[in-house]
Amino acid sequence: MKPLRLKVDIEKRLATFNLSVQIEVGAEILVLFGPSGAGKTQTLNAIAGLTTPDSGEITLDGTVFFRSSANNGAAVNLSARKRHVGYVFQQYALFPHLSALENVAYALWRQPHARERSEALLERMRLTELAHRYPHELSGGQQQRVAIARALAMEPRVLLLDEPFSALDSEIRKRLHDDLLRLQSEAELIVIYVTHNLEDAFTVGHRMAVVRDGQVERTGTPREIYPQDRAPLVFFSHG
Amino acid sequence: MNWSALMLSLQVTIVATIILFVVGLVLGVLLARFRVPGQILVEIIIFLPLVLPPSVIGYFLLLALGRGSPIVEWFHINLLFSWRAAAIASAVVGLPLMFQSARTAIASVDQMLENAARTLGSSELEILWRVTLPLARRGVIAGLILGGARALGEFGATLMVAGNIPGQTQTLPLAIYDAVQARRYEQAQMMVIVMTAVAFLGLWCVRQLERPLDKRKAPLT
Repeated sequence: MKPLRLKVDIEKRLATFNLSVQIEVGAEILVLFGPSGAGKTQTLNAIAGLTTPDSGEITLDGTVFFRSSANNGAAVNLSARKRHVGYVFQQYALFPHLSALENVAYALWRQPHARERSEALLERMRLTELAHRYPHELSGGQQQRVAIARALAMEPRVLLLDEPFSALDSEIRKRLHDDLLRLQSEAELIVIYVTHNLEDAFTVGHRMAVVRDGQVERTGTPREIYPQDRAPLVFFSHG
Repeated sequence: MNWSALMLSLQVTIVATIILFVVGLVLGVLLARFRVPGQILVEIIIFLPLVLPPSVIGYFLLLALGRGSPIVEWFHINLLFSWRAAAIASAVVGLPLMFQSARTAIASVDQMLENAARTLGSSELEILWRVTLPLARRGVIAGLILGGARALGEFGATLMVAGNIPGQTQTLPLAIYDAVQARRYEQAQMMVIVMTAVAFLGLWCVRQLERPLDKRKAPLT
C-alpha cells in the first residue's frame, strides 16, 4: 500500500481565539498536545468534516477534503461521510441501542460478510466474548476498544482519536496504547492522537505538535521537544 | 352502543394518526435539528389548536377546505362533510401533542452520536432512520398516542367541517352528544365508557414509556 500524507492548513475564527493549524502527517502517530480548549478537537473535527474551516486546505494525497474559495481552484468541502476518516470520540459515542457487534457492523451494513468482518475486528481487539453486550454493560476500556474497532471497520487510512483514554486507569491505558501502536503499524495508518496528558503523548507519539491558543507552537519528536518545553508540557498535563 | 359511530371513529383516528406521524415527525426533525426561518412563527401556528376554541379551528378549516380554497379550485377535491374532513380536523388538534413530544425526544438525542454516524459513512436520512429515531422512539410513540387519543376525542372542529351525519360523519363524541340530546342515556353511557377506557389506556401506555428501561442505561427519550 502506498504511504499517504495528510496535509492540514486551516484557519477558523472561534469564540475565544483564531484557530490556525498547519500540520503534515504520514503513516505515523502524530500527537496533538496541549491544554484543554487549545483547539485540538476543532482541528480533528475539521479533518473529519464535522466542522467547516473559514479558509485553507485539507488534502489526503490526491483527495481534497476541503479547499476554501480563497485558495487556488474551485472550493471543495467533502462531506464527513465521504472522507472515510475513522474517528474515536472522547466519550466513545457508541450507539446505546446497538450491541458491541452491531456497533462495529454499523458502517458495513450494506457490504458482504459484514458480520464476519465485524467479528474479526472484535477478535482483534480481544472483545469476542463481549460481542452481544450493550455499551452500558461494558467497562470504559472495553467501550473504547469497541469504538476503535468500529472506526476501523470501514478500513480508513486516517484515524483520529480525541483524548481516547483520558478516563481510564493507567494499566488499561498501557494495553490500549500497545493496541494502538500495533494497529497503526499493521495498517500503516495515519493517526492523529489528541491529548493533554504528557505520558500518553510520550508513550504513543512518533511525533508531537504542541498546540496552544489555536496555534501549533512546535513540532518534532517527543524527545526533541521534551528537554526544551518540559515546564510548560508538565503544566499542560496537569492543567 | 352506536357501532357505526365507533367504527367511523376508529377509521378517522387511524387516518388522523398516520397524518400525525408523518407531519409531526417531519416538523419535529426540522425544528429540532435545523435552523428554520420564522421558527417561532411556525411553532406558534402548530400550537394554536391547543388554545383556540374548536369553533375557530373549524372556521379556519372551512376556509382551507371549502369553496375558493386551492384544494377545491386547483385540485377539484371536495373534502367538506366527509369522514376525510373529520380525519383532517382530528389531525390538526392532535398535532401539537405529537409535535412537542417528537421534537423534545429528537432534540435530546446526543448529536455526538449523529456525528459518529456521519464519520461512519451514513447519509442524513440514514442517520435519522438508524440512530436518531431508534433513540427517540419512546418520545415519538408517546406523542403519537397522545395525539391519537386527542384525535379520537375531537368534537367541535369535526362538527363544523364534517357535520353530524349518522353513518357518514358521526363519530363517537358526536354520537354521545346526540344520544344525550335525545335522552338515550344508556347508549350515551356505553360510549362514554368506551371513550374513557381508551383514553385511560393511552395515558397508561404513555406513563409506561416515560419510565426508564433497565436494559439500556443510556437515556432513551
